[in-house]
Amino acid sequence: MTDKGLRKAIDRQQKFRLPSNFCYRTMRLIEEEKHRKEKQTEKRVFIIWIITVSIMTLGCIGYIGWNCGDQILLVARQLGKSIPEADLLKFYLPIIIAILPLIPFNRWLQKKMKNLWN
Amino acid sequence: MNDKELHIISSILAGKTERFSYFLDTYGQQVFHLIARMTGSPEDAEELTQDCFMKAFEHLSSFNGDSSFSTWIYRIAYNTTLSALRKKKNEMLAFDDKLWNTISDTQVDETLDSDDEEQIQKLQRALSALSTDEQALITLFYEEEKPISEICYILHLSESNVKVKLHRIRKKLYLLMTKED
Repeated sequence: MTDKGLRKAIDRQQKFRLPSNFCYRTMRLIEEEKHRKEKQTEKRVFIIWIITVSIMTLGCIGYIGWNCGDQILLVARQLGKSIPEADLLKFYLPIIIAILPLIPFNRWLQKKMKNLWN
Repeated sequence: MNDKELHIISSILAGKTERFSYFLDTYGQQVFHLIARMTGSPEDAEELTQDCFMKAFEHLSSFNGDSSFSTWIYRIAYNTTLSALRKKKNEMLAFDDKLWNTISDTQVDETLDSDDEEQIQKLQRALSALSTDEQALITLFYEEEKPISEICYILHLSESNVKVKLHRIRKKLYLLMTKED
């Protein structure tokens, strides 16, 4: 069985050739993919870093509170008595705390809006 | 597995992405040819070839060197093309099971071995009527002249299955040719 006829028929079928710039275009896509992966890794590392720092900070606060809580409360009470504007601070402190997360949110919204306009 | 290719793969994994162009230059055309035969459309084939090499790049770390890179990339190409084509509905030519048994091997051998111009033209038309996986098998066996063991790996089939499929394709080609008369 040599399948001479079949081989001739196959040989006569349309030949397909890849465009000459195929390698260049694919390599560009691969570079983009590599860049995307690097960005993704950076993002992951950043998130892990934020989580670690938060846990460590909370741990430190907890440790300090557990060990020196009484002294801190004492100092705070004394400070409350000595600072006349303590009531003012009570009013503005929640606002300052609320502003802190709003700053990155505002930046994120600005970016989104820019993308929408473009 | 080629030592040079193993070396290139480890350097790509170490960050020298530009070295991947070696695989594109070496196997791009062959992979494109197989996909083009399976899809019948050079435009779709070009896109699928790109997808296939992107997949190979993304999963390069999982390549364990059990087979050659060429066999591995052919396997990815076959899977990528099949899943892409599954989304499109293919018209399949179905033959009655009894019909297969009525055809003698000698008849098939003589027909497919014939040098007659008219027969070759009929064969060309019959070849274009084959299904996607049949096209892949014909391309790998007759055009690329891959050994059966490699074809088994690429198509996820056992050796006996590949042989039976080849036998059936030859019979199908004969049937398609006689159907024309």
